[in-house]
Amino acid sequence: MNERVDPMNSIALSSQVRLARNFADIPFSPRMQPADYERVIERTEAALCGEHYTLKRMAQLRWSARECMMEAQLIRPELAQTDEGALLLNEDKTVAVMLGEEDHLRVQAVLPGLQLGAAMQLAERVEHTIERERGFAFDRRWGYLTVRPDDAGTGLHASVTLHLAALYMLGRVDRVIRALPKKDFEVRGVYGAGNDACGQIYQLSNRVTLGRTEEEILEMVGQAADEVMKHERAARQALLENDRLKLEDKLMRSYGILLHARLLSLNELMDRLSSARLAADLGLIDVTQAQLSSLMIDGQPATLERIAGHRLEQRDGDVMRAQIVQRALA
Amino acid sequence: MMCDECGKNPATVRIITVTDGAKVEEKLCSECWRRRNLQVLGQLSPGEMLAKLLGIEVEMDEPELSVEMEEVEDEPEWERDWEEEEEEEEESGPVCPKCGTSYSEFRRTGMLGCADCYIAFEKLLEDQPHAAQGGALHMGRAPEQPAEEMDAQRRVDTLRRQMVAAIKMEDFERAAALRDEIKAMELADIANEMKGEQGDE
Repeated sequence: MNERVDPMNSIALSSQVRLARNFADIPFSPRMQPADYERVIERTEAALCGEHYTLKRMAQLRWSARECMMEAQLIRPELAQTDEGALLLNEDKTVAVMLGEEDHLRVQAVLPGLQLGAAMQLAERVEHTIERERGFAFDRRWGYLTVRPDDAGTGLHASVTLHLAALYMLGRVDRVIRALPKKDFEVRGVYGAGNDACGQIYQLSNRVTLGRTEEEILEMVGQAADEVMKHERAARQALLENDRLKLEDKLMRSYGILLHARLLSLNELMDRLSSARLAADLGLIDVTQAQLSSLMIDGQPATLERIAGHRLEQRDGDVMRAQIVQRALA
Repeated sequence: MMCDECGKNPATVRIITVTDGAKVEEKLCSECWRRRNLQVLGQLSPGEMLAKLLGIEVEMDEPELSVEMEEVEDEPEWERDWEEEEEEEEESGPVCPKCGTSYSEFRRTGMLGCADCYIAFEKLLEDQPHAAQGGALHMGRAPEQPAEEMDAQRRVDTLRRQMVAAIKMEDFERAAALRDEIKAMELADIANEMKGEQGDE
C-alpha cells in the first residue's frame, strides 16, 4: 500500500481506523444497565492504566464541552447523546477510545496524511492491550460480534479524509464519488449536513466489514482514496493549465478576505480555508495545513465559544471568528 | 404485519379484490405491489398499457373485477384488534434465550442485545443476509491471533480471492506471485498431512 505524507500535495488530510468491540460477558447496548456501562469503563481504564490516557465521562461534561469534542471529530453524536458513556483519549489525541457508544468500545486512531497501515497498527496495539485483560465477543463464523451485524467480522471501518477543492470548483465531485462501487464505499461530507460538504472535505470509508481480512479492507480503502486523489490532482492540473493566473488570483483574493475581514460566518470560513489549503498546496502562501486544520476546528460554534469563554450571539461569533483567524495567520 | 406474498417486508398496501361478489383481501409490501402492477401491465395490449401508465381510465376486459386500494394505516377501527393480535404473535417468534431480544425487535431497531443473539438468530441472519454483508464468512483476524497464524485454509482462500482481484485489475505480475504462493501453501499442507499419516502408522 502506498504510505506517504505529502506536504506539497496534501489532498489526503488524515487517515482514520475504527475498531468496534464488545466484551463477551456484558450485554450489548440495547440491554445495558447503568452498572454495565460502569464495568465497561472501569475495565478499559484499568487495561490502559499507565499509558497516559485521560478519562472523560459524558455525565461530567456539559453539553457545550461534548459539542467541542464532536467538532474536533473525537467523538460521534451517538456518544455525546448518552450520559453513561465516556472517552479515553491519549496525550497526542491520536487515539480515542469511545466507551458505551453503540458498541462497548470503538477504538479510533487518526494520523495525518495517507497512512492507514500505521493508523491500524496504532488502533490494534490499543485493542490488544484491552483484549488481554478480558475477552471480546467473537465467533468463528461472524468474527467480532457487534451490536449491528453491519459492523460484524473485522469490526473495522477505515477512512481517509480528502480535500477535494479542484474537483468541487469544476463541479465533478459527485461524478467521481458515484464512480466508486456503492456497495463497498461510503463518502460523506465531514462538515455540514448531508451531501452539502462544507469546506470541500469528504470522508471515504468502507461499508463491508465481514468476509474480508483487515489487510484487504485497508488496501481497498487506500486504493479508492488513491483513485479519488488522482482525479483531484488531474483537476488541479486542469485548472492550472486553463488559466494559472486566474486561479491564483481567485485563491489570493480569498486569502485576502481571510486576513482582513471583520465578520466571518462559519460557512464562509470553511470555504475560504478550503481555498487557502489549495493556495498552500500550490506554494502561493506560507501557511501549514496543520494551521488551517486547527482554524477549521476553532471556528466551529461550540469551540469558538470555549475560546471566547462565554456564549456568543451569531454576530459576535462572526467577529470572534475573524479575530482568531487573523491572530493565527498574522 | 408482513407482506402476504413475500413474507419478508412489512405490508404497506391492502388490496381488496371483488370477483363475482366474493371479496378477497391481500396485504402487500410496496415491492410486491409494484411487481404485481407490472404483471398486470404485462397482460395488457400496448394501447391499454400506455393508457394505464398515463392514468387514463379504459374499459377492461373483465368489468366485474374491481380493485380497491388503500393505505394500511387508514384501516377501520374494527380491524385494529385483529391486527394487534397478529403482531403479538409475531413478537413471540424466535427470542434470544440469554437477553430476551426477539428477532422482530432486531428487525425494527437493527440492533442485537448480546453476543448470544448471533447464535439464536443465526439461521435468520444467514437466510436474510444484510444487504452490505451478503452472507459472507469472517475472514479476518481472531482474538490474539496475528495474521501469520490465520488458519492455513482461510489464508489460501484469501490469497485466491486476491489473485482473482489482481487478474481483474490486469495486474498479472501480482496474480502470478499469488498463484505461486497458493501452490507453495497447498504443497506444504499436503506434506504436513502425509507426515501426520506416517506418524499414525
